[in-house]
Amino acid sequence: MGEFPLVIFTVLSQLAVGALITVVLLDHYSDKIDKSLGKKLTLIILGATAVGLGFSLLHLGHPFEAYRALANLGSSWLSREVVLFSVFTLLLIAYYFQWQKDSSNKKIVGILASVTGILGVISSGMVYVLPAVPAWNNFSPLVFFILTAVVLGPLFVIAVLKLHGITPPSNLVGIAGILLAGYLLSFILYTSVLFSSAGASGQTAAQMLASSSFWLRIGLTWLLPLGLIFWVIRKQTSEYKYLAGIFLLVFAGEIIGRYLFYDTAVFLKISGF
Amino acid sequence: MAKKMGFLVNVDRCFGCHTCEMACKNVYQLEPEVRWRKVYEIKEEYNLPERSFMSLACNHCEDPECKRVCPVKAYSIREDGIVLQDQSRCIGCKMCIMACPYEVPQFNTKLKKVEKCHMCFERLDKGQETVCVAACPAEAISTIDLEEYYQNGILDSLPGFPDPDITKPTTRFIKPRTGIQVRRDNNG
Repeated sequence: MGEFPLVIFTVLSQLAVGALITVVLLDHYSDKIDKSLGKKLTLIILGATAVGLGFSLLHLGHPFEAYRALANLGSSWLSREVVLFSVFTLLLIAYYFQWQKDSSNKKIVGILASVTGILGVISSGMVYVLPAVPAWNNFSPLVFFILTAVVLGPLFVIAVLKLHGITPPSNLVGIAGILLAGYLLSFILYTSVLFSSAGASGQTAAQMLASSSFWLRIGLTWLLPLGLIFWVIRKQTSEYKYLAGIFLLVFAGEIIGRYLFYDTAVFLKISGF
Repeated sequence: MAKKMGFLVNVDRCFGCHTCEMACKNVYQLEPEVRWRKVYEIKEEYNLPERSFMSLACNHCEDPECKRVCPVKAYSIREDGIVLQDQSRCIGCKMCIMACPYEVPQFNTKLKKVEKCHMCFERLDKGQETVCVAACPAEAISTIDLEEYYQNGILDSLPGFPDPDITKPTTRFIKPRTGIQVRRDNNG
């Protein structure tokens, strides 16, 4: 699993961005997050970002020279991604201190960090929009990376809120469910288009469908969590074990899905070369 | 007008001896797993009775994906079109390996950096031939200035190659021809 550091970096950074957006929105539209929880959530998000960035360095041949990756902002999405996630990390630190001070600038810093984070996730997606990989050379890396963020983030915050004895806003679980269902529909559409394509795209879909991890991912990311969300809403329960379970299932599914993203992509190849 | 250098590979002449590949490895002391030039048997169907071989190195593209995606600006294009990679800048992110449709940049596991063919630019600057061109016993490879060179029948792509519009490679090809065949007369 050669791309393991990138699997961890992309999933954790997207989880962090999605979680931050959720925290900023909850802080604005509800009174569910007090100072102590706000600080704790921001620290966890900062930790996830830092761990992700640390893993991303392991992917490099020379991790200590990573600072030089800022050099090609003019055309390299990787340079842009490095800059945006560095700024995102700094803004997260600033956001933590805004919570600490209970500052009136907290909302502005939170919005700035969220926008930077979204742009970072977009850059992460654009890194993989490459003509040499037909299955990626379209909207899919961008859309799926954003969907990972907006699905994992709220589910994570819901689980943390419940861990602290706070019942999450009733509509948040429903919104997460709708996003997850939208994610599933987009994925079915994408896989169908790939499967009906010729050449490297079709081969990518065939490799994906032939992998047992693919079916495990379908179950973990979508079928089980959607079933659980449906059950939670229907029973009007908000027990921690169910809410945490939904997050952990989707998180595990996303890790497997990202591994498949790297592992099953078929590159353009000259036959025999 | 500025030069636009490229390799011309006469596939009709190449018989797969790998001398170009080995000469390049020898002169530049490449690691065992690294080959800046590769000779391989063409698998695409030409309806020819004999095997055909191809010798391919960096295509020194006009619009190189390696240069676009490299975050450390390790790639540059000389005035004569040769695409150079400054290995001292490389941090081993392997973006160029992912982005090149021709699988040209290669990872040196010892140095943990990427490397590729530089068309022996120092030799060309001295008026010498590239190592591969000088070594080829069949005169199947040459370097040409695309701004001046013209010959009927040269192609910018061969069957099975990625679309040349992606990066506009400067390598040109002369495709294999059917040789004279002598068949046994079954009735004779």
